[in-house]
Amino acid sequence: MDISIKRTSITVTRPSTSSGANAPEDAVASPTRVTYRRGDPEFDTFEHAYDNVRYQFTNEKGLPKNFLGPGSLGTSIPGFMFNQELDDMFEQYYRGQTDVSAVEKKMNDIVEDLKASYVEKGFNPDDFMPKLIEDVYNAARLGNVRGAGIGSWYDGREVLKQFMGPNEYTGYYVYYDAKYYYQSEDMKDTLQDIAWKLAEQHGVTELNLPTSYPDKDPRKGMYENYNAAINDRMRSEQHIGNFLTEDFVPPKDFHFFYRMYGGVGPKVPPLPAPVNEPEAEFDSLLYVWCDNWSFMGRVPVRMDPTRYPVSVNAYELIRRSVSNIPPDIAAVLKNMDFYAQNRGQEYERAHPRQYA
Amino acid sequence: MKSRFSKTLSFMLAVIFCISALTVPAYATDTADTENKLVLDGANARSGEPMLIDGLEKAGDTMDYEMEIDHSLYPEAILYAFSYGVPGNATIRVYDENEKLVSGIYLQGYLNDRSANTHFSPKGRCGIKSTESTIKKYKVTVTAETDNVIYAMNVGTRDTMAEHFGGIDNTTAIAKNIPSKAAEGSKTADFAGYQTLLDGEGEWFYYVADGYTYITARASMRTGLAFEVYDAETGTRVYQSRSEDTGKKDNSVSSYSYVGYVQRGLNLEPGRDYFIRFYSTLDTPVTDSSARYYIHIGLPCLTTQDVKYNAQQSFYVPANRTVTFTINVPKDTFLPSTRANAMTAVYFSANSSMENAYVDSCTITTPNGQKVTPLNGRYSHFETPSSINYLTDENHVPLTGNWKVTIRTSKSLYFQFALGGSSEIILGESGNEVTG
Repeated sequence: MDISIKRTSITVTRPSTSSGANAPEDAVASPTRVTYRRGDPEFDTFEHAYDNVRYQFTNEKGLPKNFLGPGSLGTSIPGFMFNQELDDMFEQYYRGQTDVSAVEKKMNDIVEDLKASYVEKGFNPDDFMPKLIEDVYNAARLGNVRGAGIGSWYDGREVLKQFMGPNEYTGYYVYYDAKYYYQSEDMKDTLQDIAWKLAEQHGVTELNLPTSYPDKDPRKGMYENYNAAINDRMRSEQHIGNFLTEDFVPPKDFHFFYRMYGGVGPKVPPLPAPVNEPEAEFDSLLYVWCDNWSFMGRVPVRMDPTRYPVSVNAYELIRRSVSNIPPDIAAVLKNMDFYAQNRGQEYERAHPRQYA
Repeated sequence: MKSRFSKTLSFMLAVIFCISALTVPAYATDTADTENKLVLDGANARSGEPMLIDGLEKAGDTMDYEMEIDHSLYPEAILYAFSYGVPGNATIRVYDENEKLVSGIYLQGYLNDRSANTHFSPKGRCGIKSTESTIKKYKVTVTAETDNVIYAMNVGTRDTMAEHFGGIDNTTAIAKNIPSKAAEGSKTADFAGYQTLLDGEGEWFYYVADGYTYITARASMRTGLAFEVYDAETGTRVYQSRSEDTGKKDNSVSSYSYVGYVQRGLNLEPGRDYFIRFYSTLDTPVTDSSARYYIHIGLPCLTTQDVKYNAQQSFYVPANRTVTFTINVPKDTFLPSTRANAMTAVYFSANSSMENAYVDSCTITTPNGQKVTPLNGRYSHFETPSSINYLTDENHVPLTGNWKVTIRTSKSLYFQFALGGSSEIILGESGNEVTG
C-alpha cells in the first residue's frame, strides 16, 4: 500500500446517563465525552454511519436521473457536456451561422452517443430510450430560447452602438425583436417533430414532451419563451422595466430598444424635453419600430419616490405625442412599464411577475 | 423560542437524512475489504474505490485516523478534504509519529461572527512531506467546530488534484455567502477555488437555495469563466451562463490590470437543492496550480471603487437669502450600479472652514430624495448599502442624478460641489459591462 488511511477512534459527546438515585429531579445532566476505539463494538456504528451518504446522480436501476445531467457518461465525454454542444449549436443557429438541419443532426448525434454508451454498460435500450429522447428534447428546448435571447442580445449591442458609440458603457438596456419570438416558437414545434422522429427511429412509441415549465421551476422565468427571456433581463436582472404579462404575441416586425438614462446622448437626436425639469437629464430612451411605424422619445423615469410616480407605461407615454398607434402595437405597448432602477423594489412588489 | 441554531440543526439533519436515503448503489463502498484505505490511483467514487466520507454530530467531537505514506514513492502526499452534503466547520490536523503537528486544513462552511472575515473554506488541501525514503505513520484528527459536520477526504499528490479535488465526484457542499456579523456591511463572503479545477469537468458545488441567488466567479487577469446550475433532484440543467453574464472590471488603480467575472442572479426555488458547476471556456488550460479564482453564491459580489467628481462651476450664495441649486452629476460619471456607502462624501463647501462657518443652514437632497445635512461643508454618513436588494432598494443612494442643495449664509460666498471617497458597485450585472 503506497498510502493508506483508516479510522482508529472517535470521541463523541454523550448526555450523562446516570445522575445518581439521590439526584434531584431537575438536576441538569452534564454531557460527557466518550472515546471508542477500533475493536469496541460501538466503533462499528460510527465507522459505517456515513457509508451510504452520497449525492444521488442515478435512479434505482443505475441509470442517470437525467442523461444530460451530472453522473451521466457518454462514450467519450460526461453527459452534461452535451448541453454545451446544444447551446453552441443554437447560438450559431440564432446568429444565422447554421440552419435547422444542424439542430436535427446534433440531437440525433447526442442520442446515438448516449445510447451506445449505456448499451455498452449493459442496459437494455427499452429501459431508457424514451427518457433519453425526452432529456435531449428538454435540453434542446432550453437551448432554443436561450439561443434566441443571445441572438437578440448581440443585435441589441449593435443598436446600442448606433446611439452611444462603440466605447461607451453599455449601461442598462433591453432590445426586443419579434423575429426571435417567432423563430423560437417555430423551433418549439420543430423540436417536437425531431423528438418524435428520433422515437420512431429507436422504436419508442410514447414520449412526454412538455411545452411549458412548472411554476416554481427557475426555467419558467428564463426559458418559457422569448418574451420571458427578455423580461428576465429587463425586470429580474436589471430592474428597469416589466412586461405586465409574458404570453403576448407581438406584431411580426415589432422591435423596441430601451436604455436607462439613455434619453440624452452623443448620438441620440434631440428629443422634446420638459422645460425647467433637471431630472429630464436622466430620462431614458425608448425607440419602437414596426413596419412603417416608429416612435423615438424620452421616458421620464424618476429616482425620487417623494416627488414622482414609480413607473411609466409605454402606451400612456407614446399616445401623448402620437395619435396613429396601430392597435396591435398599442396592445404590446400597454403591456410595458419602465421605472428607475432604484425604485425596482417598490415597483416589483406592487406588480408580481406574471409568467406566460 | 426556537433559536436560529436549533432551526439550522433541524435543517441539517433533514439534509443528512435526505442524502442517506438517496444512496447510489454504484458508489457504495465495501469498507471490510479496503479497511477504509485510500490508495493513490483511483481513490474516488467513480472508479469504485472509496472516497472517505465521515460525519461528526456535535461540535467538539473528533475522529482519528491512522495514515501511512510510503515516502520512498511519494516524498509528498496531499490530503484533500471538503464539506460533503452539509456545510460545516471542522479542523483537520495531521501529526507525525512524535505527535508533532505537521500539516492541517480548516474546513469552514460558516463564518465566525466574532471576526471580520469574508472568506469561506469549504474545501482545502495540505501537503505531508518527508525527505526520508521510508514508510511513515501519521495521525489525522478531525475536530468538529459546528454540529453535524460531514466531510470527505481523498489522498493523492499534486498531480492528482483534478481527480481528487475537482469534478462531480468531489462535489463540495457550500453555504450562502453571508459575511460574518463583524464584517457585515463591508463585503459578501467568498470562497477561493483553484483555477486548474475549472478545466475538464470543472469544479462542482452543492447548494441549498433560499430564493433569488446571485452566482459570481471572478479572477484577476483572466476571462473565460462560466457556470451552470443543475436541479439536484432531477439532474436537469436549469441555467447556463451566457456571454452577456461575463465581463471585465478594470482596476481603478492600475489600468493594466482587471478582474474578469461571470455573474448572474437566478430565481432558484427556496429549499431546493442544486449543483453548481464552474468551468472554463478557454482552450488553454491553466498551468499554475496555485492560481485562484473566487466564488460568491447567494449574495452579489460587491466591490469598492474610488469616487471623484467635481462640479465644473462654482455656486454663488448671496448673504441672508435662501437659495437652491440643482447639480447634475452626469450619468456616465460612474458605473450604473454605483451606490453611496459609509465612505462616500458629498461636499458643498466654501474655500475654507472659516468661510463655512457663515453657513446658517444647508440641506442636500440626494438623487433619490434623501435629505442630509452637511457639517462644515461635508456629509459622509451614508449607510453602506445592503447586498440584499442592492440595486432596487430606494434607500440606496445612486451617485449619478440630480443633487439639490438648499443653503442660507450670513455672508456672500462661492461654494463648490464635489463627491469623494469611495462607493460600492455590484461586480457583474450587465450595467457595468464594457462593449467591444
